[in-house]
This record gives sequence, structure tokens and C-alpha cells, in this order.
Amino acid sequence: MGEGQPPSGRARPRWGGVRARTARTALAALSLAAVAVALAALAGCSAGRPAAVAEPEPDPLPFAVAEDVVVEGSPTVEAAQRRGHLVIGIKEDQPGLGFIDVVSRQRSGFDVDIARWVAASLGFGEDQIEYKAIAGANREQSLVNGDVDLYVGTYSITAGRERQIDFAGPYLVTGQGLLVRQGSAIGGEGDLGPGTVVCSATGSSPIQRIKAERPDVPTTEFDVYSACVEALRNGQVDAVTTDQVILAGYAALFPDELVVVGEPFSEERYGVGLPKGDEALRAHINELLTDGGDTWQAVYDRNLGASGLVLEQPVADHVASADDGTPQGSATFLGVLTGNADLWGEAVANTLLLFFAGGAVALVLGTVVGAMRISPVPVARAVATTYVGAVRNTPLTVVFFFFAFGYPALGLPTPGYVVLAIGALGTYTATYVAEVLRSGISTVPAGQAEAARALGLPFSKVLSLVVLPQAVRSVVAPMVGVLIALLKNTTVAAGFSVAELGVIRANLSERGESALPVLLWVAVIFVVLVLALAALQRWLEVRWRVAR
Amino acid sequence: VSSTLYDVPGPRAVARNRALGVATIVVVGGILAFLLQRLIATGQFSAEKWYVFSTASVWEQVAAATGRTLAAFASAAVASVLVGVALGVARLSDHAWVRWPATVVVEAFRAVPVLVLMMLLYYGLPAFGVRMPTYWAVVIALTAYNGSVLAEVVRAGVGALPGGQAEAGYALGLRKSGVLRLVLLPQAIRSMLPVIVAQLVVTLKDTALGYIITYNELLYFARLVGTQAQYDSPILQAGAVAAAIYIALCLALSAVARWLERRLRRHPAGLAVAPAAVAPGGPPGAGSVGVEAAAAGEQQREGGGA
Repeated sequence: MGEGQPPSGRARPRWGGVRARTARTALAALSLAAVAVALAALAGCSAGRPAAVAEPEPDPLPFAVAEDVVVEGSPTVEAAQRRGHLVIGIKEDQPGLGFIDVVSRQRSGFDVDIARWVAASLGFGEDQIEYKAIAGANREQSLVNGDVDLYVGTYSITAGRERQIDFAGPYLVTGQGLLVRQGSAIGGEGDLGPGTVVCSATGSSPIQRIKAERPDVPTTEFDVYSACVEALRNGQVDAVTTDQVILAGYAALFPDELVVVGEPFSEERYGVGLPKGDEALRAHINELLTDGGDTWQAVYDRNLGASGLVLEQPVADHVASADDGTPQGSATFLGVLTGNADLWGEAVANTLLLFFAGGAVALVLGTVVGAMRISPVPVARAVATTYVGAVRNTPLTVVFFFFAFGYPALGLPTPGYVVLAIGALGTYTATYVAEVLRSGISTVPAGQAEAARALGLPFSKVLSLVVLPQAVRSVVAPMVGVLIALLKNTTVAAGFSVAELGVIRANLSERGESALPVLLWVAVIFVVLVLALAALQRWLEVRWRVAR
Repeated sequence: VSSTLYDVPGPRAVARNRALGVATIVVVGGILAFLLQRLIATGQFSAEKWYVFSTASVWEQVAAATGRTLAAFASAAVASVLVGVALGVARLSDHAWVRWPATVVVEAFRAVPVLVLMMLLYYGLPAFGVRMPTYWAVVIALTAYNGSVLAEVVRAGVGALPGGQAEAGYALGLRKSGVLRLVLLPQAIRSMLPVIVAQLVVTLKDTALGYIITYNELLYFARLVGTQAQYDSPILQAGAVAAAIYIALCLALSAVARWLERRLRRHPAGLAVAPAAVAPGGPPGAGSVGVEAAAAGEQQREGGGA
């Protein structure tokens, strides 16, 4: 719209009408959904609690809270005692290990009980423990930040992690194993073959090991283990692989259906994560574990005994491991980039792949939807309006959630997370493409279309010969704006297991790089890419300005 | 728009439109039927899958998680409007030493993805000893981004006012600050209100990014519920509940934007300047279907947030 053009008073009421319709349609769809939810909830009520969760009360904890504890020289314990409570980082989505039941809100699991045991030995009862659920990727950070005093949650002792934090323990030694259905012919890794589908968490080291060592075995990857376990119970996959005790947690949940088989084919030593340098606390915990008698076994049986997996308490003798030459991180800001060119290359490539493929999907789908929104067919308009109204009012993260978690639940072939991420970005961005097209067409003065119609042109030719060629000019700049947003939105895939720029921090922290320079570089890359697109936008704008 | 593109349909066009309508119904209906078939085949409507949502305990936690989403939104919304006005005014300053830093800040924060900003705050800053809970990382990142977008909105709003407004202000003897404070800003903000509210819809949607840095908000709780194997892993069900809540909240905010727009239209004094004054952060970013009236406007760089 040119500078001198008066506000288009004619168009406004009509747009108001469209908007009102949008709202009505969207609201109608929403209320339908709400009714469906309510009905399903009622159905659930009458059916009562699923049988699988009817478990007897577990035995009481096999240890007592100590009194008047002094751990000489431990800043962590001193701070906790001054504060009056202990903050423990745990997991809450691993049954049998670190788990919370959303209905009863009870925490349970082997790791949680170990944490309770340690807390009790320091004089903190259950009411003096503050649990914080920390995701796997944030564990070191939470200890470094001081968010938690200690962390207990399937935390493998590795030299890389020990540069930032310390470990006490190990309190459990496990290794990669297989979870299968009761009565399955699979008894160990050797029984896997082209006919057995193995499932694990996306990009996790267990699935990578299977892929590398047994390329003949078909694999399926889900973002969360619970999805793998569900697929196993439904018969979509034949085995789930990861650390044996994690599998044992699910086996203990469904002891009649699932069983852990085979010898572990790797070694993971779980330790209690501590802030760096708290030797006194490490010694205290190691001593507790070593002198605990049969407490460990009681805690194990209480949580994982039902799984049938038999484990023994390891010797808790871990001390700070000498520096074994693992990477130290780059000395210079530039070195972060040049020293890890392989990972940066992969990340940038994936970001660009998501951008171009997602953009292509969005442009095609958005053009179809945009055409439907202005078409003379009421049904098509209603469908397109509902789609745009619903998706544009949904956060992109939620759209990703449905593609990454919801789609696999439908039991369809899994195309991999990059494809699902492209689908999510395309679906979301298409609504913006459609709206840009629609408002672009509305900038063409009504007289143009009227003149074309007066010449006797049908709808298709009015659009293709007269309106669209003019609309394209005013559409190009905002369309680049949509693409800029798409480029930035590719980072959301970081939350859903795609190795693009948003997730490189986690990968590089394994190599000992600190987060700040990595993220600054990510920001710099985005600023450069976005400014380049913005320059393109300005150039197109000037070049294709509509002179009216 | 549509009606200017085609004539009142004659008999052949009516028949063709009907055929197209039927084709649309068949295609869309087919897709929906297939999805429904998959949902039924995988037992998504079974009582076990919905059991958790029949307990008061879970709904209490859903309410609490929604509260945390809204808390982050409310803080970020208030802060980004304040930051937006401040930065917008700074960009309008006559002094280069005020204008240039503001420009750099606005351009940089609009170019960096909000998620990367959140990660910088949460994972990056502890290197300098600055540690914050995820809540503040979410709020500060959303404020930085949306404040920058709103700064452009404010600037565009002031820029679109007729020159006579400022001139009249100076003629009355007002100083620069007086002209801005008493004459320009009230009109600009008034005419830009719908766009500002639409940007707040984007802010609300972007709170869901907190899920990725593990801020314990609505989507985070949905995932926790969805991975409960003993309740049959109701991930689709939890996602559906979360999505319904997000959509309801966003529609409510969009409704506010539309209501403001209608109100402004009824009082043309404020509107005289509005339609041309279209904001950069405009429609694609708006997230609302409501504001695209403003869309026709000139440059709009920013598309939708996440």
C-alpha cells in the first residue's frame, strides 16, 4: 500500500466479517474438542483405575534419620543445614529409578531411595528434602549453578562430567541390556537379527551402538523410553535397549509382560553427583554406601526386585579421576568454532535443511490454504479458516510436541525426527504464508478485479492474469519476513532431538566446551543469516515497489 | 476481498463450486477419517488412556502448570511493553549516542531466536557467575525479544502520525519531551494497541519454549503425564489437553485485540492515523487473525514467533 493511499474504508468491514467468522469457527472447533475431552474423561471415571497400578504398599524405608550430623569441611552440607533443608536433583520419568506418580504425587524408585538414604545420613528427613526434577541434559549445569545440593538419577560417572562436578559412589553398576516381551525368543544380543526391531531413545548412545555393531538390525527411535515400552507391549517393536536397570524399572512395572534378558554389553557406573571440590561429602557418601550392610539390597528389592533382574552392590570407592587427556575445551573464542568444525557443519547443515525443506512445505501448503481461503467454495473457506485459526493460536512447541510424541503413538511408520520436524515447521509456517498471500491479494485495488471481470474473465483468469501478478509484488517482502521467522523457529527442533544449531551446546559440552562461547556463536550465526535475509527483503522491496 | 474476485455464480459456476466443495469434503474428510481410524486402532479413546484426566489431583496440577505459564507471560508482557516504549522512544531520539545503541539492541534481539536467548541466559551466563532459575531466563528472553519488536511498533506508530501533530505541539511552546509525552505517544500507542496486544499473543505462545530449557510450565507437565507408563502413557491425550488450554488462552487474547480494534474504529479520533501506520511486527508475527487489517502496510520484517 503506497504512502499516499487513503485507508481502505471499503475493505475494513468485510475483513471484520471474515474475522468474526474465523473466531466463530475456531470457537466451535474448540468447544467440540472440549466436549470430546470431557466425555473421554467421564468414560475414564466409570472404568476406574487401570489394573496395572494396583500395587501393595511397599515396605517402609530401611534406614533412620541421623541426628546432630556434622560433616567436617563440607560447604554443601553446611549450607543445607543453615537453610534447614536439602535440595536433591532427581529424575521423575523413570519408573523404578526416579519417578513421580502424577495421580498420587508420590515419588518412588531406587535412585530416589538412595537420595533419601543419603539425606537421612545427613540428618534430613523426608519433610526436609526438596526434590527438583532435572532433565538429563541439565544435570551438570544444575550442580554448577547451585540449583541442587546433590544429584541422584542414572548419572554415569564419566571423565568429561568430572571436569565440572564430582561423583560419589558408584552405587550401581549396569550396562546396556535388552527388554523383551515374556516368552520372546530373544535371549540376548546374539538373537537380534533382520526380523527383530529394536527401539531406543532418539540419538542415544545405546541405539548408536546397536546401529554401529549390528547394522542388519532394524531400529526405531522415539524421544522417550515410555514410547518404546508402549510400542514393545503393542508388538510394534521386539526389543527395547538401554541401561539394564532403566529397563528393569519398566519390567518391574509390568512383571507379567516384560522381562530383561541377556548379559550387559557395556558398563555404566552410576554415581551421586556433587558440586566440584566437596571431598568431605564424597567421603561421607562413599562411607555410607560401604558400611550400609544390607540396606542397599533392601532398597534394591523394594524398587526393582519385581523385575527379576539380580544385581549386587558395587564397591563405592570412586575418587577424583586423574585427568585422562579428555578434551579440555578450546582456549580461544574462535577456537570453539574452528576446533569443532565437524559438529558445527552438521548443525548448520541440519538448520539449513529444516529451513529449506520446512520452507518448501510451508509455501506449497500455505498457497493451497491461502487459495482455499479466498475461493468461492464455502466449505473450502471454512476448512482453511479453521486450520489457520487453530494452528496460529497454538505455540510452535506444542505443534512439535504432536509431531514428535503424538505421531509415533499412532503406530504409523516412523520417518525419523528430521522429517517430523520439517512437518511441524511446515504445518505451522503454512498458516503465516496463507495469511500473507491473502492480505497481499487484498492490497490489489478492487477496481482491478472488477475490470478483469468486466472483460469477461473467469475466476481462475482474474486471479492468474490480473490479481496475482500485482499481489506478488506486495507479498514478497512480508513473505521473506515469514521465512526469517521460520529460520529462527528451526531452533525449536532442539527440544525434539534434531541435531541443529539449537542443540549444539549439549553436544559441545560433551567435548568440554563451555556453554557461553558456543551459544554466542550460535547467536552470531543467526544474526548474520537473519540480517542477510533482511537485506534481501529490503532489496526486493525497493526493486518491486508497487508504483500506484 | 473474495467477492470482488468473482461474479455472482451462474448455473455452471454453482455446479462447479458444488463439485469443488464435495471434493474438499472428500479430501479433508478422508484425512480426518484416516486419523480417527488410527486413533481408534491404537486405543487413544480407551478409558485407561484418559484415566489420569479423571482425577482431581492431575487437574490441580494442570491448573498449577497453567498458572506458571501465565505467570511467565504476565511478567514478560508488562516488562516488554515498558521496554518497548523505552527503546522505541530511544530510537526516535535526536541524539545519535542514544539512537544508535538502541538500534543495535533492537536489531540484535530481533535477529536472535528467543530460544537461543533463553539458553544464553540459563546455560551461558553462569560462566560470569550470573545464575538464575529457568523462570527468569524465560521472562528475560521474552522481554528482550518482544520489547524489541514493540519498540519498532511504537516507532512506526509515532512515525505514522501526521507531521502537523508535532508541529502544533511545538507551536504551543512544548519542548521535545512534552511533544513526545503529551502529543505523540498517546496517539501512537492508542492507534497501535491492537498490534501491541497481538504481539502479546506471540509472547504467550513463546512461553511454551520454556519447556525446552525445562521451565516447569504447562507443556512440561503434559510431557510428564504423557510418559507415565503405568497409566498407559497418555501422551496424545496430555498434548490435546495442553493444546486446548493454549488455544483457549490465545483466542481470548486475540479477542481482546479485536475488541480494541473495534473500539478504536468507533472513535475515529484515534483512528485517523491508524490504518497506514502499520507495524513491522505486524501480522505474520501477530498470531492473531485479528490484526491483519494492519497487514497491508509497508515493511514487515518479523514473521511469527514460535
